[in-house]
Amino acid sequence: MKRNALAWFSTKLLGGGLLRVGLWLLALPATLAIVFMFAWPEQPEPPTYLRLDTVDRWIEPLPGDTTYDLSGFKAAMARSADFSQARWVSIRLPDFLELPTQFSAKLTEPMAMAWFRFSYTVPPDARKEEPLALYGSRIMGGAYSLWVNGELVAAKLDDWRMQWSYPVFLQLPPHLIKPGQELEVALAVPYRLSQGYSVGSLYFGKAHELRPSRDIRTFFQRTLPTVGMVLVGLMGALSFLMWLRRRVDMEHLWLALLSVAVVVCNLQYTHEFSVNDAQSAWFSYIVDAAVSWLFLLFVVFAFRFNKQQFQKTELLLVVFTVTNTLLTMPLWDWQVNGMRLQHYLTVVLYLYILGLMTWLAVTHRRFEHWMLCFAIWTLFCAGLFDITYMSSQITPDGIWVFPYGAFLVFIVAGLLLQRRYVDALNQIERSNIHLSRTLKAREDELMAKQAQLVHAQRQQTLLMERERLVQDIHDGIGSSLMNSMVSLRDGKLSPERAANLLRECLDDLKIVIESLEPIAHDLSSLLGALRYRFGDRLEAAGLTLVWQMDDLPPLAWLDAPQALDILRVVQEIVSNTLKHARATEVAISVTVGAAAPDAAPFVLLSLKDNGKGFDPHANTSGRGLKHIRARLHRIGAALTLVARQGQGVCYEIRLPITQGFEDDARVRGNASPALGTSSILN
Amino acid sequence: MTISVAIVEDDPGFRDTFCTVVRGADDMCLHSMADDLPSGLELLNLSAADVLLVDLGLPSGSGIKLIEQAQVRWPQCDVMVISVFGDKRNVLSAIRAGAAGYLLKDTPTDQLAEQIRVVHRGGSAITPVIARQMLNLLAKQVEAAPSGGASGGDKWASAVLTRQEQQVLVLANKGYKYEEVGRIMGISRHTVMTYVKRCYRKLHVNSKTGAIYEAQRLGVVFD
Repeated sequence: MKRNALAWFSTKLLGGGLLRVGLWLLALPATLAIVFMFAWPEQPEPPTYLRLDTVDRWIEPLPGDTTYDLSGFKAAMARSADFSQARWVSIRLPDFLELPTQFSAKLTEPMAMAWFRFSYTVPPDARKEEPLALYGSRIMGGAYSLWVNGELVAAKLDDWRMQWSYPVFLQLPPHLIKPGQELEVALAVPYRLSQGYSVGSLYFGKAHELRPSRDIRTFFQRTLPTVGMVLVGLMGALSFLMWLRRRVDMEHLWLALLSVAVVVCNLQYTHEFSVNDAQSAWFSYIVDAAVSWLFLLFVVFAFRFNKQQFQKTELLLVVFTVTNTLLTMPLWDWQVNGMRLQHYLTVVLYLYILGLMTWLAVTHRRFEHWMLCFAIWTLFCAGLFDITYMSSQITPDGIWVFPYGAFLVFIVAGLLLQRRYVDALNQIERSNIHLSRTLKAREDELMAKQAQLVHAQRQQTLLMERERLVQDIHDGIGSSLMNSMVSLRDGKLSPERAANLLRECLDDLKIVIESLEPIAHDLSSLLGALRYRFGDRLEAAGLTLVWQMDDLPPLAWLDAPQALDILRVVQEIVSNTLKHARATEVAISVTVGAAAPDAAPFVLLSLKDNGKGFDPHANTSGRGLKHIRARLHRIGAALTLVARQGQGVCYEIRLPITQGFEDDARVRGNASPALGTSSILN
Repeated sequence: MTISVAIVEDDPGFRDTFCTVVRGADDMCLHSMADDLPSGLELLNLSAADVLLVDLGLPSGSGIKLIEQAQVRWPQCDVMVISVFGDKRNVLSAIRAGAAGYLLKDTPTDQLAEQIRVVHRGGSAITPVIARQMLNLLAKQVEAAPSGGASGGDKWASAVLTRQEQQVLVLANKGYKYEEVGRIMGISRHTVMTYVKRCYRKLHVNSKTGAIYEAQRLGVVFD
């Protein structure tokens, strides 16, 4: 057990609960302090004020010309206390008459003054610095005045029509404080007979002892509702501004309107319009109407928030509220009578709405539904309580709860909206994370595919190169060796011929290897190496080689496959010369030229022999020119053959310097391959 | 005076050819023969020969080691490497190790003797590709030279090619033969060969300092 408790405590502390524990530890004394401050006055000694449970009451009828307006009340208050005819009845406080269902607005109405009398002995330790006061929860019905020993001591005329939310606090003047003296205190409350009065519990004693009670009551009855009203108003304004930016979210508008209704409803707790009859009537009307509008708006909000479609109910409610508002306007005479009736009708309709919402909450079982249901029930009950409270059906010693109900409604609505926001934000966060993950996955996929593609391309290129090499070797060396083997087997191969064949194969192999040497696009190295290998052979065959190699720029397109093609072309040409030309001299030169001053330059490889030449119009298929042309076409080069009978042959090969030439050559390459002195393009 | 020639070659056919050539030449005599790296190294215990032919592809190891040893043991000897295709990688490393020239295995026998004489005289054979590589090597080495280090200063300076040497290499790279090079440059064939030999020496010298070796090892040089 001990270990468990310890473990629990440590997890609370160490598992981030340190803050929580700290808060709890702070909250407890804080709460106690608040309670202490409010509920517990500073004095260590017990309070000495009297709670007036039993007082004497006398209902004095007022003369018939007392009008139900401010002057009438003032006149009533000015009458001196004449208790000669009084018939005192002992009653218990609080004392209240239930408000009738109908009361008229007539000005001349029989009125009466309710007197409440009690005796108080000033304690011997009373001092003039500690005045005495009368404190009461409320006196409903209008004005009141305080008489001590037949003298008017204090009077209150604020909100004489329907004072209902100020506690009574009347302070006695200091000169009356004579220790040991007996005071006869009487409280006068004028009222209309048809309307009745309501007097709550009364307390009499030292003012500073009674003040805390008054303060608490004032706080809960006036201050807090006022503050709440202001806050709700502000939040409503914010909500409205939000709706302005996002018209599609109607809930903000409903919330703003709801806040307006709450503010208007609560105005009665902070303002009064006793002065002007018409103003007062209209004010009351507006405030009362606001209650039903509050209800309507909240119901609409609830339905729309949960996307419920109860159009008929909504319509019914709207019709009712509008009708109600119209009918209770202070233009008609009978509106005052209908006030309580109006409230009871409302109750019936609202009970139906409440039932509907409860049913919704039960069937849907979602948090939002339960919260809305709770709020509206609270509002309804608060309203109900306040109605009974107002109509003096219950003791006036409580406080009005409707403002708090209205605040709760607004807070619930606001909280639900906030929940929705937080959910939306969380959703966005989640989907952002999800999106970024998906994006990353796609990117990785793409990169992998890219890498694959590059790899495949490289493989492809390598494969093609390999194939070409293999093809070349196969065609050249392979076929030579095959032929020699066949000849040898058939006994048709002389040793000398065999040696020659093998040498040719070796040459071919050397050429292939030479082509694979990285030469960094340097044609002069390539051809120079070729000359080096085979130059002596030519000399031995009786062919003088005149060699000229200029400085060449690097040729971007010259890689191993292209190098092989060039070497083969030169090999073929030279071998042709050896076989057919019967020449004594071959001039091989490599220069850089340009067709025109502004044309692209090219490299000119020319091989010229001084042999017997051949007829350009004769059949030249035996010279392997087709292969030569094919190879040159592949690298984007052009061959010009100049041949004349008896004047030797000149092969002129134009090689491009940049890639562009190659593309041009390919594009151009469909000219007819006629031989002759004219320029021939592949 | 007869040129004493030693050969380290594992291929018996070529050894026979070689022996025939040497015996056939008046001015040459056979110094010694070995068919493998260890026995070749043992040859170095004998008195020095004038020309040493080394096959790079020996069964038990690369002939480069032998070349390096020969530089130490037989400083006056001219080493030639025997190569089938004259592929530049091996030849270049042989030159770095100190070889003075190389011989292609399929050289006609009548040229074999002449080439030996040439190397003995101080000339060196060169292929266009090797010439280009040497140009690159020595050019890069000039770029990489430390700015005025005290110890390596002189060696670096001597490694730089002179304009003549550079031109010889360039022309050789283009495929011109020694005579043609000489004709273009206005110098004798023999002078051209001397230039080439000097280039070889510079490569060998630089390889001893290790700089070029590093560059080559890192693959900087070979394009």
